[in-house]
Amino acid sequence: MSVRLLSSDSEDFTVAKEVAERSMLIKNMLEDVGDNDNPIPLPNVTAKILRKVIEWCEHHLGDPVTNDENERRNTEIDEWDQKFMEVDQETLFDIILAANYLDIKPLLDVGCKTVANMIKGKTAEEIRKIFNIVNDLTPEEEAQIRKENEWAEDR
Amino acid sequence: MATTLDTLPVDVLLDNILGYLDAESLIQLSYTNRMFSSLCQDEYLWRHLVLEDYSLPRDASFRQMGWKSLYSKLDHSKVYVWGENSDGRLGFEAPNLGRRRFFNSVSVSTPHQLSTLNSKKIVDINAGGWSFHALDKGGQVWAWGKIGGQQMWSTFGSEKLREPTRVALPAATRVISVSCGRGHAVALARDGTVWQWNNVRLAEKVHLPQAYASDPIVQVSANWGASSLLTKSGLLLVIPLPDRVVPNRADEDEEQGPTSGGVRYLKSFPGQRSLSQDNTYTDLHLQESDMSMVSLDRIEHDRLLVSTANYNPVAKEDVLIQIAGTEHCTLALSRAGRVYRFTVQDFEALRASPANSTIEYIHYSAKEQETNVRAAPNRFITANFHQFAVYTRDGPALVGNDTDPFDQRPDNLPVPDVCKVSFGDYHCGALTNDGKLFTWGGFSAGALGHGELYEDGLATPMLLDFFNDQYVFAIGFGGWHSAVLTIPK
Repeated sequence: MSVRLLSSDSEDFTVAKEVAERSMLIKNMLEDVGDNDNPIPLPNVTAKILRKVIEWCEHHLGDPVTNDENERRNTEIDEWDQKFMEVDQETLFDIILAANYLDIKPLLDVGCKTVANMIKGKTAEEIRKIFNIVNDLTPEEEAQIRKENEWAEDR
Repeated sequence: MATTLDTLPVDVLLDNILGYLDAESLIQLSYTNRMFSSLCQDEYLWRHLVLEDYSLPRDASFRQMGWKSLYSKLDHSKVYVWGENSDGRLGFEAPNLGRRRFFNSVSVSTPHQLSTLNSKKIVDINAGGWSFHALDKGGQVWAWGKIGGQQMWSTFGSEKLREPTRVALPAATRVISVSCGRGHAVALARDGTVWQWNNVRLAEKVHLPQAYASDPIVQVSANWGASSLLTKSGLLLVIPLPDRVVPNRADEDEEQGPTSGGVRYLKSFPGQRSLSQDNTYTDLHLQESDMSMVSLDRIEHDRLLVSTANYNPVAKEDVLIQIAGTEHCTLALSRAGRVYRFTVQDFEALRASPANSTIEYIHYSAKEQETNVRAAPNRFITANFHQFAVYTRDGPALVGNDTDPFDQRPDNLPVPDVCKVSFGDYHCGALTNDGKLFTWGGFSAGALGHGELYEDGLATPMLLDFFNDQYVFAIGFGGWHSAVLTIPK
């Protein structure tokens, strides 16, 4: 059984139902509307990103559904996912936005872990460079924040 | 417009990306710009880091703020104790500390710092009937006083610990929470194992029946005559006390149980207990018939069989998410915000009819359906001896007694912003989110902490101004003794 998905730029995708149902949003929609041939419009996802999302869902089709509110937030990412996330920053953030909108928790996690790993261990200046963050803090504000975090310097 | 890190939705940043960062990275990120410096202050992020990096038990308090401050200063925590000291239970080397009141009572009526634990990075403290148990950052447990013994007479086998002593657990075992009953303690380790002891020299590793193998334990709470365990799926398991561990005497003629380091178990659970390979603890393999199990499913099923159930119909798909042990009962909070009391003392009765052993404190339960998960509860419960407290995000702490009927109206604790209440036999203490300590109840050999004042007791909570220039973050009251942990302000 297959489902049709319509990207924001009007590209029509036909995917296996169980692939589409990795998205809780689509799964719930399908339950609401029942079987029919109309494409499901996804106004927040472009064809480029939807293609990536479908690729991810197809690869992870057999994954067990885990619903772990685990304490440990492990940032390890498996090899396939690491390769999959080797994209430019804009695409990475768009995948995260799509996973958030489509409610695909494991994909959202992988995307966010990838971003977290880009931040980890870097200095503020390096983080600004990597993500093009404009520093809008006044020198006084910055001094104040650094003072509040003095305790972390000598750990 | 191109999507960038700082244009991602705030909930994605907070709930997902920033939650994966360690403290150092979070601080560096906070220097980058105004938005991130504000996001990186988020209490929930720092709560997670405290729980993770300091092994602070998540059931220790209903703290809503102060997590970042805790994180920055927990390495410098101090332990204060006071109250009854006739048997040296406070853990001071000086044997004569305190004022003799009667032949069997010596009061230490103001907080005294237990400096032997200064560098130990203590993160939580609990009081037993005549003892204290403290948990450190590395997951080691320190005990002092008498764990398995009475105060006045030298009970068979109970050992007196004059100063904080490390509980003998395997080196790799990192304890993440400890709960004290009257004469024993139960602990949960990071690897999911459950430990019990009444003597620091020989602990018992509890092995549950195979049926529970795939349902990890998420919380432990001691009763006086049992230990209560909560599983991830919401089952309450009640297991028997550890056997009394006594000094090993060569001249005893009875057949000896497992022995280790000069102590041994009295014989019990024959065939189910064995000494670990390295002689440091005993393994106890429990069978279904040694314990009892409560679930809301079973309660609901049973409700139809009893004529007068003292609880409302169980909410749809509701499960237990937090427990709190008293002397004979275990209080429990459900995902839907219901507060139950299970009488766990009598295993047989509990097994025979869970419904008859259950009441719901309907006026402590949520009025409207709420959703509580252990990671982010809206309601919270703690208990000691006969008293319990239910905490909510915007209301006062609700205090009750486990002998109250199901429809008892709660007492509102007249202290705002309370994150933990702890109860001794007659004295009580409440800790606020901003680090203040209030005490009330019986004088209890100075356990109120206000010096020799109020020998007739305090009817209402009074601020203990001894701690005005420190931030109190943990509290463990029990018996006639009190303890708190502080960090610098």
